[in-house]
Amino acid sequence: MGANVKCEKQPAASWFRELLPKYFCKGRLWGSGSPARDRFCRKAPDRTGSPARDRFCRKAPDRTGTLACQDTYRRFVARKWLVLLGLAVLLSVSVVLSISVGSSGLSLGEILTALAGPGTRQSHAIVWNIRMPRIVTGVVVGCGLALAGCIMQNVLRNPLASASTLGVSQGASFGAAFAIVCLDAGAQVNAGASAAAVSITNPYMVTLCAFVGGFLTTVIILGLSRIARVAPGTMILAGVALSSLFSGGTTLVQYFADDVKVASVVYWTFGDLGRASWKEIGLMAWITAGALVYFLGNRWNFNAMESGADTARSLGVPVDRLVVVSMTVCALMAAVATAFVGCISFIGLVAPHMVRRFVGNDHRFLIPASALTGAVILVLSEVASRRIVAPGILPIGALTSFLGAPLFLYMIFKRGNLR
Amino acid sequence: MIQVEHISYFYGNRQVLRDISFSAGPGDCVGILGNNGAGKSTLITCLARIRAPRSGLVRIDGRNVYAMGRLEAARTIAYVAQHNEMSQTTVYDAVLLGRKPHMKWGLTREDYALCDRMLEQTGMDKFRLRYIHELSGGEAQKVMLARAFVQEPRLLLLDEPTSSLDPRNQYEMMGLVRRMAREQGITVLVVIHDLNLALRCCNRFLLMQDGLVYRYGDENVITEESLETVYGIPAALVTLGDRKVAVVG
Repeated sequence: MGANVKCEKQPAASWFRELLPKYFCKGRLWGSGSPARDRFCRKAPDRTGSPARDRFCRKAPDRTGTLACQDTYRRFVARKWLVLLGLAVLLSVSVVLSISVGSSGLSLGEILTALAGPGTRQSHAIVWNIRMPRIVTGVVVGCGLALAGCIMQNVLRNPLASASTLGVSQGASFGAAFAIVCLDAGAQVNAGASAAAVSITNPYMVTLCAFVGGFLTTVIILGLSRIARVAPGTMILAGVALSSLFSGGTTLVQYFADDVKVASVVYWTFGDLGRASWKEIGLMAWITAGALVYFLGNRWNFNAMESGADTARSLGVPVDRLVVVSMTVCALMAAVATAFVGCISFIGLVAPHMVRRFVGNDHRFLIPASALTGAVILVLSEVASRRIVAPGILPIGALTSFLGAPLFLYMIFKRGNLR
Repeated sequence: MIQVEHISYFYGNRQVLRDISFSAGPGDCVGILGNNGAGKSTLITCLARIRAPRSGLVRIDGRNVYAMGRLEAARTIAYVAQHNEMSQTTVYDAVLLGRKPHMKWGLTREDYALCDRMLEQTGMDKFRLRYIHELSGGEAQKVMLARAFVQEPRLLLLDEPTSSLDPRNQYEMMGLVRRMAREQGITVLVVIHDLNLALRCCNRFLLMQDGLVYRYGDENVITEESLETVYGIPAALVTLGDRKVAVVG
């Protein structure tokens, strides 16, 4: 510790600025403390300028001055843990909100009784067969899509990468539609006017086909990234091309299917969290949990990848293996989510960017924070989808796009580009 | 002691490195000089195990680098690229990354202590929680250098570390490299374009031309004739005080 570095005392009533100093500075919810302002205030610390200038610089204290203390890094890391804790609390609140919202009008007491074990047969059925599967699906799929986005953005060195922007979801969607229509892996049930749904009779076949579709896209994207070494923008354009290719494929599959199957596939592509059964949820949960363990195990490798593939290699990262295995795992997660829930866009893109504002690119925190944020977004979207036109239900895929696209545009407008 | 023996590398069918051999001792700072396309960066990346040469060996203290495991090699050799891509990563996290090859289950007190010490020595202590993309080019390069020293390597490879820096930062940075290399007995190989900076900071020189070693040795290999041959333009050497100064063009 340099003897010339002093710890400035923090103002007493600034505990939340202490917690998240950059995000709640005056007038800026999202933006980082302007580097120009920091430079301005740092360059002439001793100059006794105008009172206005002094006030300006005091209000936005230079982080280098306040934080350059021996234990500041630990405090900085502790803040990131607090962000994770905050997200976990937010997820819990979202889950409670989601479980207490529904058309049957169950009270929270009845719900808790049903969750604990006893309770009426009706409340038990509503909670365990309707609401809980939907919530758990939301949590698992939200985590999975956000994780896939976070890791794809890292290994492809592309801030716009996600399962939906690269066409992986659309590839998986085509694969699943193909399995349902051509391989008879799904059978339509409950074909009421407002509740037509596809129940998947052969989840493994649908997953396999979805995975093949998603993986095919991943192979093309990997080829563009590793062999042709295309620019990040071009990669997204390739994703657009692949998306339209697979959308065209899905349209063809629908064109040659009979009316009932067309209706069910169209409905299926809307996205619905209530569609997965416990068996399918278990499969998704295992895959997502395995992926989370693998990604967290490689957290330092992903951090090394942030400084480029060459530097990562020199730090002992098996770059090629990491990229191929990570992309395959991401494709699998996106494919399984798409197969059982339908197309849900933007979560993989938006969730990592939202938390990056708070935890930076440190994958020790970015990975779990992205997963939690993805889950929160999807669970809350699901609540919104059931409340906006209650008792009707809006398609969740459309809703996440409505929420995600403006938020994403706002982030781009605010910062010019994403890092 | 580093021994480079008969390294050859091909891009497709084009041979970029031809039978490169030289050796350097601990504390040596070897300046690699030559025109663009002479194979300097390729040589550095071959030594860093980023590229695999078609033939040849690199021994460090008698041990073959290409036979080492990934992590062992990373504990032996550190590499600083010409440009760094790090974006929203804090200075402290970037330097901690240098401990990755040494990590078993997580970071230890020693890891943090080493990072603190290295940040202090590079003068980056005051920026520890800044994001790297908020730093100037010179500051960011110093962070990368601190990361490389935290790796505790035997061989440090620098690919044009001063190309985007102003003169003051160039001398500061190379002075730091020289001092740390001497103190810790690290061999440094640095690709460098500024001849006078090389003359001031390096004690051995590897002149490369068309993928071949043209000359290798101490300051005496830098002559007007050798510079003219390597760079293809007229060069003059003058002595200012006790220092050799090169004037090219």
